[in-house]
Amino acid sequence: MKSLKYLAISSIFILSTGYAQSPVYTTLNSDGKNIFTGVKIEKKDYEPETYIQKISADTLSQTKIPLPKELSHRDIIAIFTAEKNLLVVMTQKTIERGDNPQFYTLNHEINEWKKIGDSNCISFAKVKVEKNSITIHCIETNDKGERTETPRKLVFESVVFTQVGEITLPSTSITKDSIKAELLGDPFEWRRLKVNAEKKEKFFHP
Amino acid sequence: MKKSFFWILSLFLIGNSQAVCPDGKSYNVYLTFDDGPHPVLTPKILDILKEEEVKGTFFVMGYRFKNGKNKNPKPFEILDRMKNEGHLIGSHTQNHIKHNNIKDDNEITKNPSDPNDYLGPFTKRQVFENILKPYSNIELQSYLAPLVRLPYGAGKIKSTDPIIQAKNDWIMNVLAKSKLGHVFWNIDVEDWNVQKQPFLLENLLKQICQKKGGVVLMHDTESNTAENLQNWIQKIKSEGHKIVPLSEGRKDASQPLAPEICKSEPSALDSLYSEVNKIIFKIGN
Repeated sequence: MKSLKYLAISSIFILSTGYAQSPVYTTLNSDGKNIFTGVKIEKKDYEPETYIQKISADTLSQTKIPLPKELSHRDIIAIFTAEKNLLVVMTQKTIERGDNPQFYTLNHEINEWKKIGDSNCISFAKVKVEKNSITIHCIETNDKGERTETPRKLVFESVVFTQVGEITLPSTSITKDSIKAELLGDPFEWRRLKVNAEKKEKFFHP
Repeated sequence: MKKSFFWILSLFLIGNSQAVCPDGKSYNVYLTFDDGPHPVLTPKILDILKEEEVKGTFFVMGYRFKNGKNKNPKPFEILDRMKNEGHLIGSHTQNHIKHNNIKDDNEITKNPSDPNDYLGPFTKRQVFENILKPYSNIELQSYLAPLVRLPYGAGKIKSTDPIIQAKNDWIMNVLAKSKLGHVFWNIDVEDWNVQKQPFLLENLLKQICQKKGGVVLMHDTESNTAENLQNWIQKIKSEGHKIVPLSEGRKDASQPLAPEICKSEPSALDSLYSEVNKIIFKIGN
């Protein structure tokens, strides 16, 4: 009888998995030639799908860059620009409880992906980017119930970042040379992107 | 007769006038907490629930009870308090691992009890044991309702990749064969996410309206939740929504609720494991 009661409890929520929503932007950045955004599509009952949207500053045309299979359901938390056409893409699963962020490089000219590291840190807002490293200011709750902040540094020997400094995530606007780009919408529900480049203005949707 | 009808109608309208959802309705909300019990924060959360006269459901981590009642009585004392105050206790499995990252049983895999290895991969046997271990813990099993919430929703959330989906199906079969129900969520507070912290309440209220109420996912291990829960509950109530228990709570605490299979000798687990494995071959994994 009791088992039936608990079966009933769980069956009430069987159909409550997920919620269909239109795609949202999760972050953006620019290397001065292109604007790169993270896009997330939530699908009812399924893992979200994610990809990068690349917009040419010259033509304001957009291209979809798919993520490798192992990243295609992970949120794109941040995109950092680096020398030699490289982007450093930071991803994280945000379902139920976040997992450790993973870092991949993408050569966006030849669409080549390579894993360069991960960080043992689930919750963070500030990151410090230096020439060859990223330091994540990790926020954790200890056994006493206090919140602590611990910097965790990741060194990437093969990467030379082109934008250094402290960044508060998520990045929702960027000004780079003649490019201005901004995510529009409610917080974390950015459904439009406004781009000003080469004296032109255009709105994009993911 | 007519008079009483209009009186009831006006009461109904007054009741609904509180609702602030765009559709003019208010909804039922079920509060659930994962990952605990935390020695400091969970008691604080229980204080708030008591003060606000609200019942919740706690999906506890099995590893927190591994040292036993004698060596580490605190987590058991918290469970006693949950039970006495009418909250429901379910399992969030032994360790917070990603259950659907499964490799063949003969491949080298990660250690499920090491937090650095939580994303796997694991063998099927490791995954199977991680799900059932809290129900095999004699001191813990009597507290647990046969309700599980899988960490990261891994196993429950569907995949378009048929290989991963076969693993998900296998995990859900482990639950089904063990007579364990799964409780998902549809409203995720993301209380662990400091980036979203300034918008958590606004987002929670928005989701309640958008999703027409439902199961709210929080973590009783987050200081953010312990600090803000009272405000969140008061705001939910003031918007006209009703916070209701997932069940009426365990009225008969003397009755153990763990599935029969976990209470018998270890060989029962072996036979269940081989039974579950028959299923996975049928679905072609």
